[in-house]
Amino acid sequence: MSIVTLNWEEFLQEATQFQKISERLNDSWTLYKKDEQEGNAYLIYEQKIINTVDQKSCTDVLEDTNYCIEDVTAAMPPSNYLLKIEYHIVYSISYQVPVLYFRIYRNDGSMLCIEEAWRIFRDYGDNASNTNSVDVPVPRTAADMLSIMTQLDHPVLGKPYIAIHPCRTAELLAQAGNSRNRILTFISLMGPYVQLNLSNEYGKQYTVS
Amino acid sequence: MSDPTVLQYAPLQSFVNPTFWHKLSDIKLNHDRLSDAPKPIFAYYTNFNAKACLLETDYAAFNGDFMAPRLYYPAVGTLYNKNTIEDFKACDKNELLRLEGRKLVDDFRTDRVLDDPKLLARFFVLSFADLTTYNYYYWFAFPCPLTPTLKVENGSSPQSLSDIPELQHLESLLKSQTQKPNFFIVKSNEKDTIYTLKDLLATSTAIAEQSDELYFGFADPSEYEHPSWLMRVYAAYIFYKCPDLVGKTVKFLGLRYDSKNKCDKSLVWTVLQTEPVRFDESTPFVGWEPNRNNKMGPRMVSMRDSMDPKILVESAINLNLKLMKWRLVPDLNLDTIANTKCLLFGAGTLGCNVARNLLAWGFKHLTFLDNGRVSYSNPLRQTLYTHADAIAGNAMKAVTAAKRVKEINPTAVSTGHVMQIPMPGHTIGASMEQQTNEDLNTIKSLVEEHDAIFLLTDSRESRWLPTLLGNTFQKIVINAALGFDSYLVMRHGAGSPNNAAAGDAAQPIDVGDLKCIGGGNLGCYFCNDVTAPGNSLKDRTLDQQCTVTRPGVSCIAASYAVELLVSLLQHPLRDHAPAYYCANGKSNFKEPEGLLGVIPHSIRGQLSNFENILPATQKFSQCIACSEKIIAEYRAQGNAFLFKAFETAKYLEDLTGISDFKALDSAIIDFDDSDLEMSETEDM
Repeated sequence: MSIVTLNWEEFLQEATQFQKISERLNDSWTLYKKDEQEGNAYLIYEQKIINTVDQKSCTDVLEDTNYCIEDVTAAMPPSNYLLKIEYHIVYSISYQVPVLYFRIYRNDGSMLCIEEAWRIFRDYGDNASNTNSVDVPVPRTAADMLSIMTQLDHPVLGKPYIAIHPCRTAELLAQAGNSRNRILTFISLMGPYVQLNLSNEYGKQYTVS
Repeated sequence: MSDPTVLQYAPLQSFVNPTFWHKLSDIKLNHDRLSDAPKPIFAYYTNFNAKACLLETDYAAFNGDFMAPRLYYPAVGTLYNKNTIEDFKACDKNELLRLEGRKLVDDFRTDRVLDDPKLLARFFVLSFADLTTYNYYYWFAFPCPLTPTLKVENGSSPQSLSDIPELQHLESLLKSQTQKPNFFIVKSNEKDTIYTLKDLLATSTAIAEQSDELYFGFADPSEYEHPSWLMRVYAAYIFYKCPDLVGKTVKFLGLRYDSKNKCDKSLVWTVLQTEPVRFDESTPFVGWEPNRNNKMGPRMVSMRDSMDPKILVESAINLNLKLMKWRLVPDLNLDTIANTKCLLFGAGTLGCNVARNLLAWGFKHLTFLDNGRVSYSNPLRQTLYTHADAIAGNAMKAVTAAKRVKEINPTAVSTGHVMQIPMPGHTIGASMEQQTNEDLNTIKSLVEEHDAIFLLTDSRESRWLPTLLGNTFQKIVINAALGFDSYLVMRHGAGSPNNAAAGDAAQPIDVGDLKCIGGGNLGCYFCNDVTAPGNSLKDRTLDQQCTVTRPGVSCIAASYAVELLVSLLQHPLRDHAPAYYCANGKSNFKEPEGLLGVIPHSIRGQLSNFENILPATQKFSQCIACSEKIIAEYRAQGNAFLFKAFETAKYLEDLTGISDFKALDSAIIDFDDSDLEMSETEDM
């Protein structure tokens, strides 16, 4: 079984390159560098998704009926229907591959647990595998992918994050064939299972040049 | 209720990053302490691929030199963080809004907004941070004077930027800007300029004459048809600053970028202000954000799961166990493990190592019973103690062990009881009678309160009482004992309820040549012995009393003891799970397994050949610790029965009738397991 791995210099170089593309496309990927140590830099991306796990109504402890000014000009949009996902693409020194870490939180700052994250992606992933934006056969089903979604300590931040376990990544990268940017390939392969979809423009950056 | 000719706005919705609460707590604890003075803070919003109509904030909100993230614009706010929930509740919300509203109007009046248009993107937060429970009460407001409503010209639909030919140049013009403007003005007849508010409004002559050409632009974070609330403040300022525009049609451009970075989905609202906009003392303000139920009121968020160090340590501790569950043994029941309360008789070499293995498995309730003190020789093998414990006036083992367990896992519940275990054949003097009675009651209730009992003491007879109690109260009993290079780890047969017949209801089923013994019919530590435990400490030299063992023996036995318990707990029948043995050596049949493999009755092993054997033996109907007679007698007489046994071990032999056995033929009936004679451990 062939595998594809990256050393730290390659990871950093391709991550930097990927971030430059993002900037050129006016996308919002950033590269965070804690220090010069191996493994201590990672890519960050944030986006909002629809909150499909919480009940619409919930109890708020303090209701304040004293305050009410009639205001006809405020349109009432649905509240609490968005979640924010913060994705990190971190380098795994032991597996020598990129690892996708993420956490999801509500508009009040409270965090989703892994079971809730599973529920969010479970249905979504099945569709994602059909509409994968990069022309690479994805060998696993969404259920397979979610089965390797676990809680892991973030290697740079030292806090528990949800992660797609890197044990299969090297194989997956190998099946994707030759890649000029393995970070880009990695995100295109893994991202769709967790609602992280890169625009096709990213691929074009390489096919055009 | 909604008049189609009145322009409506999409209210801003607060979106708080967890790091905001972390930073707020940090500042409150280390900086502000008791001060609840208002603090300047910042937030940010975007019109790039905007969702809903959000105003976001995070830890950077507190930075003096705040920089909005890429593709975001800054908003200016104030934090009113109260010291108590009472202050939070008692705070006059109307007054606070008025205060903040006046500050905004002041910025209009003094033209500060011309120099710094981000002052139009205004908010404030009333909060209370309960740092003991990690509950945060908060209420965002986006203050705006209640100005006369804007009328929408002919119908209510805004125009899309792509439908306005005279603004087709805007996209490329904006692209050339390095800094995207938050509030700006463009003229349809000047294709190469984007004006700041100051450019055109500082000397507000002739603005009204040009009103047809003017577009009042703003970065619009709304994804809805309605413009964001920001426009409401913006418009209030514009009509206040330029009274000549009142009565004229005015165009507002809500600039919005899509995911492809195009702005042709931007919207233009053509509006009419019919009444003058003025501010005075009586001007009311609006802008409190409704809570999640769309009612007026604050929100509360519990950040315990991600901030409480205890919860964090718990989730970190459980990480390995959860990984085991997620990746290797999906049916593993970790809750059962966390909920099982363990009572350890003995806090010596075995007790310490068993405790550490229990902690590793996620057991959280550990109780120690021991009457020893930490001595200089102990810390090397008794892994919960240090040299300092021995120096410190010989700390009590039970108490020190419990303390260490909590240091290792702060979420553990652990207590230590300093107590001697009364033993058969160890006569209780009259002076000790009352104390012993109390101890017996304590030990009895401890057994009743726990689910699993570990026998880890250093003598055979000290295991008698816990064996009896464990059986009486139907607890899981795990027993470990050590020889020089050998060990025995076993589970006792499950006790049966008071009035039930002995043995298992379910018929044990043999598998081929594998004999099956139901969990209720398995023997206890004493079943294989034909003597009652006497005083084995009598007439022993030091090296016999204090076991000399190879150090690894205790670690191995302790590990097996805990793993045996875990295997049992994961079996649907728990301690009633059957055990199998093969009468003639190796069987060709596969032994039935639980979730984690086979569950033997006992594990006997030795280091001399690094081998284990897994014998299973029947319960002995005349056992001096677990036979029906003994249990019935204890149930009937309680402590009085125990005292008789302590008086002389012979009492138990007579009661069960094994005295007769012994008389019969001691040569044939030799249950003495001389290879594995347990001299037991040094501690306790």
